[in-house]
Amino acid sequence: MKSKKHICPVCAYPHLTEPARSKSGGGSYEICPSCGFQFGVDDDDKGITFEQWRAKWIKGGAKWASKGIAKPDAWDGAKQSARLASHVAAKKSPRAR
Amino acid sequence: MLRLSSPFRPAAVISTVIYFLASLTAGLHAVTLTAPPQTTVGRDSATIVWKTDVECGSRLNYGKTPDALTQRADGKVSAEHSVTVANLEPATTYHFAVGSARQRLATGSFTTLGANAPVATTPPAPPSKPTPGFLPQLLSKIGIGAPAPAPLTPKPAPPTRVTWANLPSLQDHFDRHGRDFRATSPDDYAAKAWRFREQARAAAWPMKLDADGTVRMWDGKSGSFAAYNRDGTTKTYFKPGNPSYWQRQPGRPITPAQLPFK
Repeated sequence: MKSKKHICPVCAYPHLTEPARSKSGGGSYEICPSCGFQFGVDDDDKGITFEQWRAKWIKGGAKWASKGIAKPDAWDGAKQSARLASHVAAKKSPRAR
Repeated sequence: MLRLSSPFRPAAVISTVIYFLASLTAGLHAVTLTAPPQTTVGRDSATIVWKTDVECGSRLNYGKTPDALTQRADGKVSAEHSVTVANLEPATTYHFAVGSARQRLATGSFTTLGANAPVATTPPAPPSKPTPGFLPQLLSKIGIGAPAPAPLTPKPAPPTRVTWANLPSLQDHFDRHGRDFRATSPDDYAAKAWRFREQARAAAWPMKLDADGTVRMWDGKSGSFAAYNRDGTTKTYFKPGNPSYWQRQPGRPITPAQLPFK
């Protein structure tokens, strides 16, 4: 089976195992190993927005969050966070139909 | 000196017990207000600060009438919140609500400074929070009743590699939620999540099936929530702090017989 990867809408980490939200709107409950945001928990339960978490993560040095998933050798939080602006802009642009 | 000969006073004992029980319930909800909003106003700006018991997002909704808080300002994730709004009209009363993106914790109002306008800050109204399941949660907290219910079918959980969906993620889920269930290790946490699934099935606790196959289960007594994949493997297991969390989860209600896994 083809394993499709998904981009974290908070930090732009490109290797989430599931979409952050299903078509029904439910959270995936996946914890992004890069920024540590848990979809469906930090937002739905704690009321934290993507923007708020992103700001806190970057302010904290954009460090690898996971203790169970090893940081990829080439991973660079600063470079990844630099791609956020274009990623967020792309997500906000209207979808072509 | 302590006087042991004081007469027995039932009212005092009851008061003490109520105070003790009330203190034990502190923290059952993840987000509660610990300091009401305070405002500092200027001619065209205002800063509102408040505190919560845990870190959460900061959101301020405000407007000129209490029923039209159409303006919004967000602050940082913190337990000590501060949000400043600018470009306000002088000598104008604004109403506001503070909280997070998901939950309003308190309301209030302030009046910006003006040439002839006195500053008038209305004390915040206390939040009208429902306390669903108060007694069961209270009893479970002090060890009476059944919080983390005893297994109805006390069979051992299968190995973690069988029950947990994404093994590399288990450590992070345990780090975040293990303490909700007093789990002693990632394997213990995964086993408790599997037992929760079996208890929910046996006791017909509320469960929902989402279009993508995700099964969500809820125990209102202990306030525990879990989500499983279509094949029954665990996605996560935790205790939400927001009382309306379960109601907001998508999916159609199902019975145990309709579960997509054995």
